[in-house]
Amino acid sequence: MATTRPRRSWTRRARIALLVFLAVIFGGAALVWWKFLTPGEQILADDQAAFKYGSLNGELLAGIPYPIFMILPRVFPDLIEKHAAAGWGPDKLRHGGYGAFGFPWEPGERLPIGFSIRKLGFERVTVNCALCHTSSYRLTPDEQPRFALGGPGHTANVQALLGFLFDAAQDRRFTAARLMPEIALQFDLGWSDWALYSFVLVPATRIALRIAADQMAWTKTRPAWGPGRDDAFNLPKFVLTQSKWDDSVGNSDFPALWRMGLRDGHLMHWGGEARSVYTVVASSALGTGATPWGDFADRNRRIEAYLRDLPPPPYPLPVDASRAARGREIFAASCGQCHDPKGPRAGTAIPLAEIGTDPEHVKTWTQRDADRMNKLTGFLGIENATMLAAQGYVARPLVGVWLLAPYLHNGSVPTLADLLSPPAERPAAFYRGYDVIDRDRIGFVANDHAAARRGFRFDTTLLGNGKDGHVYGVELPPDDKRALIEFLKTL
Amino acid sequence: MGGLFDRLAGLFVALWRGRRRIVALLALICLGGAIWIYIDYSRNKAEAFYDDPVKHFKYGSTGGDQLVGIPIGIFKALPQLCREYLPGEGWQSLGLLFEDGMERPIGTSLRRSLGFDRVSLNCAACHVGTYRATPDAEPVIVPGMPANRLLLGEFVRFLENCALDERFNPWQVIEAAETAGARYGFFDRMVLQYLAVPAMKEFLILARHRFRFLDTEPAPGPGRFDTFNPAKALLNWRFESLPPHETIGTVDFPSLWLQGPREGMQLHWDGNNDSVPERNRSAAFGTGAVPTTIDRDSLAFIATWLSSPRNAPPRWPFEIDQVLAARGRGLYAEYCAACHGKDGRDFSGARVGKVEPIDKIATDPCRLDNYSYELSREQGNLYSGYPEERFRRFRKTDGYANAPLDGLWLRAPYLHNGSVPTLRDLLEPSEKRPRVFYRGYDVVDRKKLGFVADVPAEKTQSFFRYETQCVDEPALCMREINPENRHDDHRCVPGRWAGNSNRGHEGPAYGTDLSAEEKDAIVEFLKGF
Repeated sequence: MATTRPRRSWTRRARIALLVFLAVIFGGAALVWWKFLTPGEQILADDQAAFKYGSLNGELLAGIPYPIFMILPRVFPDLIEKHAAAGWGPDKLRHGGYGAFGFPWEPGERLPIGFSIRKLGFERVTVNCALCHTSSYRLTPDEQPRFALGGPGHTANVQALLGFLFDAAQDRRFTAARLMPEIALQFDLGWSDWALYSFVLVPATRIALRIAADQMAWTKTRPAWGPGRDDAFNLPKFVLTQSKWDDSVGNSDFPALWRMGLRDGHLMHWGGEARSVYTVVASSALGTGATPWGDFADRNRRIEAYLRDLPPPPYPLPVDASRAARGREIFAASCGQCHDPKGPRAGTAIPLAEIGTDPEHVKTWTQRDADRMNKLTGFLGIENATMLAAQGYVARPLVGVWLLAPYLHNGSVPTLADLLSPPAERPAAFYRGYDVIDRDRIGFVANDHAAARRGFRFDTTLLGNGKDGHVYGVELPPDDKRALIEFLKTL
Repeated sequence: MGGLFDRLAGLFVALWRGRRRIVALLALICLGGAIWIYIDYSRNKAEAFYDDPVKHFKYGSTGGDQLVGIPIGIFKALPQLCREYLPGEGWQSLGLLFEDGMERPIGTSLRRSLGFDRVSLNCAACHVGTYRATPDAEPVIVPGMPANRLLLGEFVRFLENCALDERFNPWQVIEAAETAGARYGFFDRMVLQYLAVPAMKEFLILARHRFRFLDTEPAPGPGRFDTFNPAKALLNWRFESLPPHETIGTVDFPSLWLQGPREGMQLHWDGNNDSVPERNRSAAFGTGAVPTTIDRDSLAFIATWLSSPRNAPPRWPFEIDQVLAARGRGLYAEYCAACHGKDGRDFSGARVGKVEPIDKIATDPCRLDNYSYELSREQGNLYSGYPEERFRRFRKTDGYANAPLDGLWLRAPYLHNGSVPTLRDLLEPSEKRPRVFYRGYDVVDRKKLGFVADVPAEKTQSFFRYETQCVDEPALCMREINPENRHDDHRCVPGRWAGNSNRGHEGPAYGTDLSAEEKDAIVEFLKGF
């Protein structure tokens, strides 16, 4: 008896230890699931609301806790001002939270269009397509902006948003001691959430933003994106595929996503880097931090379907019908080859030597870069995501062209009238991000006093910003140019 | 937990049996004390008067007292401690109204929270006023009337100045409170000394910074304050970088009668929100009631009262010339009713509660410019921790809203900025309206309808000199940027009299071209509202 007792006791102890161990593991896992991973549903009325505020399922890696995200502008108004104003005229609005970065914000909404709030453990903010693909425009400086979903977000200053978040994460005020009282005015946190935010979420957000800042440090040595642009292919190259940083500059305009159904069989992106709309949607979603499993493919297909027939807003002012009719003939004769959706060269990449526009963007994405990306998407199991090397600049249908200013892939030509002028006569510098329509030249007002006071100065002499090339129609007689522009309003 | 408790109990028994009874007793006392303090400091209950809605409106809580409440002992002591920062003696000198039987003024609430009975302002501070029939009469207190005597700007300034004064240290503050009648135990004294008073001082210094717009605005005087710059302060906007025309937002306190029929109208002076509950929550911020401290039950009770038909203004207590008023009725119907309602109780009319574009109404544009499109957007994330209560109805407008005229006789001075002392003056073109007058005197002007506005002082109290533009000082007028306070393009021009212009609401459509008799008739009719 005396010898068996300790043995029994040992097994009993081992059993208890095992039970405790399992309880800790499962209990811990349950706690982590409950606090960090319980998913929540978004209530979105329709496809349009989903496009504006829907999640792309990027919460796991790219989601910032909403209470933290919301109060950052209140803690760092000086940094909002710094990033909202850098490069802009003296009257640029530099207050009003995230609205200061030019994101279209509907009154009565929690955040601007393009931001999604969804629960994964706690409410997290991510971005979606609409952040860069919603246009803001006004007919007069006095009216409130109108928003066109799917249009180029020519006012959206994504680099400023990132710069603000990164600077905040480096700032000494980014501590629980400073953030928690501000959060506590707005959110009823129990003691467990208070501890969660103080000891986990605030520090983790700070660290994550610092890591992201390191990943984006290559932007510091290149010309600013400015509003309405990003470095579309250096982003996946340097961040997703972790390629070695080179000297390339691929700054390019956010394109419009209207009537993508017209693009079947066309090359996509500015340089022909993809062959289908689906590929563009999938790779762009990946770029916003979307996790490529679960309903990734289904959601991409829904977005693709929504964009197939999404129309641009009609030109909001009267159009001279007879002049436009004459313009239609000129268009058919001079532009249709490339820009009529059915034209023989529509959707093909026009070689650099022929088009003559700024070559830097094409140089950013070689076959090697495409291969690396394809390897990554293959590894992640993403289907229909094959990327190609940039081959030139793609001739696109001109859907909603009156709202696509500034023109060319790098947004270097402010109006259609300028684009129909020889490159030497196009403005060497102008102001972007001011959203008042230029009714005469078609585009946005880019060079008057107000634009200079409120816009972002765009210098065409910087690397990647060249205004040369696309010398088509520049020889037309002035009357024909006017007729052509009148017709273009109707597209 | 059970194991821990058993062990502690075991320890206690061991101590008790081991002749260490003193230690055991001390431990027990400490434990009991800690529990008592925990319970005491967790108590959170406001004084409420649910049997008397008017009293609750005057003395009930919005919940802001949890955030900004001052322990009542200190509240009573401050006017003595910092008396030279007050215009006169006591809180009364700031226009706060005291009633018999209450130890604190109308417009304050009292809540036990964080261990102290704490006082802060509520709705009634800005929405209870007084009138007198003659200078010798006792003031009549009218709930829901604009607080025509409250110097809210001076109130804020007083607290800030007091906090910055070196006398505002824990020892002197506690001493002053005890002199004023407060009694504190050891623990409360420790909390006051090392936590509460230093925290108050820090909070007031922060408030002074966030409210720095008061430094650059023309003085509001009695009955006025800035409505939306505090919202910008809450969002911590940098006032220094705002466009200058957006910086001034001084307006009169409005009346709070008959809110029920106002649901759906464009509320606030510029009509920027058409929901009464949202307007109430927005206004509650001004009392310190943020989403996590707002007292929903109390505020709902107050809101129900404000919307009830019984919350109506008192009738004109003097004689009305019925013949003249009858003539005025027709003129009113012709000129005023479409925008201002059929009469003082029936608010029907095609344009009642709708915004009149600024180029038509042409009144002072500063308050309109002060509420910007950017603010309307960022307000969308206030209350966002509470989806049901989030602000959704704020919009930037392009003019001022047409308000119903209930209790009009108690709402002088007129226009959103209180720039026209009487109704009879409002019926004159702006060149003939008084360029300078006095506010804060509450004797009714029975002829011109409003308050007597040419009395600069009464006994020891002097009234607020309201200048609508530069007057009487040619040298000064030469120097100032906008001495006539013009705003011909309907844009606010910052400057010394910004926000104070008495222009606008004039021209043939507004009755300023009528004959003197006709104007008198309209005024006579409006007395009945």
